[in-house]
Amino acid sequence: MVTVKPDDDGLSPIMFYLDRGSGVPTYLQFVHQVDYALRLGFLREGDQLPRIKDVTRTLAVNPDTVMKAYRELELRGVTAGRPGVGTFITQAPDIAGLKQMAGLQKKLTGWLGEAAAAGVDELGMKALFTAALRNFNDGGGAARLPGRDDRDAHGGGAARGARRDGGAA
Amino acid sequence: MNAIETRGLGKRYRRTWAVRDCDLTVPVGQVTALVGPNGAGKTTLLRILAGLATPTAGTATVLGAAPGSPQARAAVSAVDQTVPLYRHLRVAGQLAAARALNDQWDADLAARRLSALGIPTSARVGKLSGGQQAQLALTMALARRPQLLLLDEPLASLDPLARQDVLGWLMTCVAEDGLSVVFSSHVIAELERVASYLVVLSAGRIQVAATVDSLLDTHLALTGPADGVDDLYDQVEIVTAQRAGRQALVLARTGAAPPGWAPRPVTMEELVLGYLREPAARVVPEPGLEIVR
Amino acid sequence: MTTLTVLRMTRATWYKHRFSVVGVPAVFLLAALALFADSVVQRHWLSVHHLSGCLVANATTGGSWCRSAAWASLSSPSQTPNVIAVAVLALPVLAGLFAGVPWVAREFESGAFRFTWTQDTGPRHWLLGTFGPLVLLAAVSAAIYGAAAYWWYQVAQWQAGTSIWSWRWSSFELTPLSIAGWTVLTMALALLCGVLIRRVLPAMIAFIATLGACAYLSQTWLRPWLFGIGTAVKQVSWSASAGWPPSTTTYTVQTWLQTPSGQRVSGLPAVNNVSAWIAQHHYTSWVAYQPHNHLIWLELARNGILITAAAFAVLATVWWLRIRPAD
Repeated sequence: MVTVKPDDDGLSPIMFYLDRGSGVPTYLQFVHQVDYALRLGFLREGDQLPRIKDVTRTLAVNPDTVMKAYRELELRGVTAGRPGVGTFITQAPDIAGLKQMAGLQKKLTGWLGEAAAAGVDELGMKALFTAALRNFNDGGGAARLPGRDDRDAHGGGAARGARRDGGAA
Repeated sequence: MNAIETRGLGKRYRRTWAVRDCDLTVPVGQVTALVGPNGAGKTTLLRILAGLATPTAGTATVLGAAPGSPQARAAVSAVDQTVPLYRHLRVAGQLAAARALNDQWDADLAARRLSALGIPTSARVGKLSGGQQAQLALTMALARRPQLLLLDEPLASLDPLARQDVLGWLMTCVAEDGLSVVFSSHVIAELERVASYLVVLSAGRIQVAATVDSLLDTHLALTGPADGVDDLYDQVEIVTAQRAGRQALVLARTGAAPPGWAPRPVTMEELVLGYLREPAARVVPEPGLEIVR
Repeated sequence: MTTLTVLRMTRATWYKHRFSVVGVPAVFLLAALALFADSVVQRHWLSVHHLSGCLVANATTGGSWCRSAAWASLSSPSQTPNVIAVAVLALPVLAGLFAGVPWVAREFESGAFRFTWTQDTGPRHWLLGTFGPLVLLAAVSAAIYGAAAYWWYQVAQWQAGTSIWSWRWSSFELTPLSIAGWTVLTMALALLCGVLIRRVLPAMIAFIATLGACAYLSQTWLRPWLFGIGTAVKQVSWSASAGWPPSTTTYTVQTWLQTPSGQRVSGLPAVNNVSAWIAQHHYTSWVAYQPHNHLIWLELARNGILITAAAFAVLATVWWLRIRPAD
């Protein structure tokens, strides 16, 4: 994992990082990082996301990638772009959602305890979870998990379309 | 307008064809990675596009102009693999010569960048380190304010931090000025985050020429039983398949996994390596994708 | 190319090739100075011995007398002036070899052309814009050098002991026009060799070979051929024709006999007393020659041919660069 300190004017409360070994597409990493920051309270409504040119300079990523991430966030309704100014958070997760999350996490911790008691190690737990998740998604009928990678729907065309907005998505 | 357009481009040196039957259409604004084994023809292709080599067959245009023509030279900057510089001059003299040779020259940019890099203007160019020479060449290439930048393994001599810094600077130029970049690279790991267009050259022929997004969308990494691979050939378009005992890993050009096979989104690294392993496999550029939005 | 481009090119030339741009004229001018100084010494010697009249006297009469007087001070006639004359002509060759040939060949050999060829000024403009000033400087300084050589040879040739003859090769070549012409040609050939061969040492060899061929052709074919054009024809007595030319300022192209009916006869009758035989048979003796006032025109013609050849070499270079810029 590589973090590089950005030297922008401190406009954004967060900075992006890259997990190069993870195999997850870069733009998705950014999307997840924004998501994560929102859920943990690092980002609030009205906050500005890092400027595209700052991200490209410090992380050496293609500006299209950053724009793709911002476009994805915009489609999810999480952010809104102001041309010439930047990209801003429009929607903070609601409290109810946070409560639900706490409950789910508690259940998960219980499951982990059971698995550990049964002699399953960490890798085994991961494999079980991954398999179950895949089955769940492929099961059709069942609703997809929110935030799943729907690259196929929002391909390169959309991200590229926003290209010429002076660098700010 | 396309940044690069080639039709049936070929170049022969004596008896061997360095590049052959190259059809490329790269739109402007792309960061194109040129990948391939040594001797695949990357340098030759870049030299033809820079106007430093005359094609034996076919045509090529850069930004709508013939390579080497005055229009092309004004809009295209190239840094050759050999990092050509006037090595007997001092840095200041080299910059002054470059300024004299160019109509458009951002002396301010050059000065700022060189001082930020700590390259003194009184040093002799030939005495600079390999990395510093590469930085100097790159700085001068960008001081010309080009629309297209051609780089032949330019970052090979840079240390990791310098490499990161240079890439960052290039990406910012892409973001702010709409610069198109074509660079040849051996570092596949950085392709996914830096490149938006991929060209794979193998033995002088183009194997892959498509946007990174389209490639990642149309390929999947499949895991499944080794004895099922033969049947799989009839079901999907396989790029490369590797068997190990009971399990097989397959790189396939498909949108969905057939039953019995677990799909996984493919990484650029896997994709490039897969195609390099199978020189016969090709991705023919889809006409619709190349034309600008 | 605009004036601004030319100025910028000149600056670019300075940065890259200042050694040649300064060196070539400097060498020519230093050599001119040396010749000038040597001639001053010789002329001073002449005036001290009251022989200055030799210089202004008609070469017909002043030649042998001045020569004898000069020999009186010298131990014997020496070939030194002719050796120096050859050395004088070697200087443009050296300039072309060491300044001209590497100019472009080095650019290719070192790979620097991959930088130069990708800047806004293309290969052709760069070549003409940077090499042009060098050729100009070289031609001008070569002309000065040639003037000094001419001035020097006027007196120095007496040391050689042979008769003074303004049509001799050394007199013909040691003039401002001739040396400047040869300099322009050597530079153009150096350019062509450098662009065609693109490696310094092989280009130098090719340059020497080509230039040697040109010099040989000029000496053995071009000048004799030129001198045969526009000759004056005159009837002279046989005894006079044997001793033709009567002065040191004409060039005999051909002598022949004519029958009484006007038919040209080749060769001579195989008799002991040719003069009596001719008188007896009423044959006339003729000579075709170049009078002195033709010399300047022939010099202009020969050097014009050199410069035309140089122009062709430059055009060939430019054309070659267009069809095959780099690889």
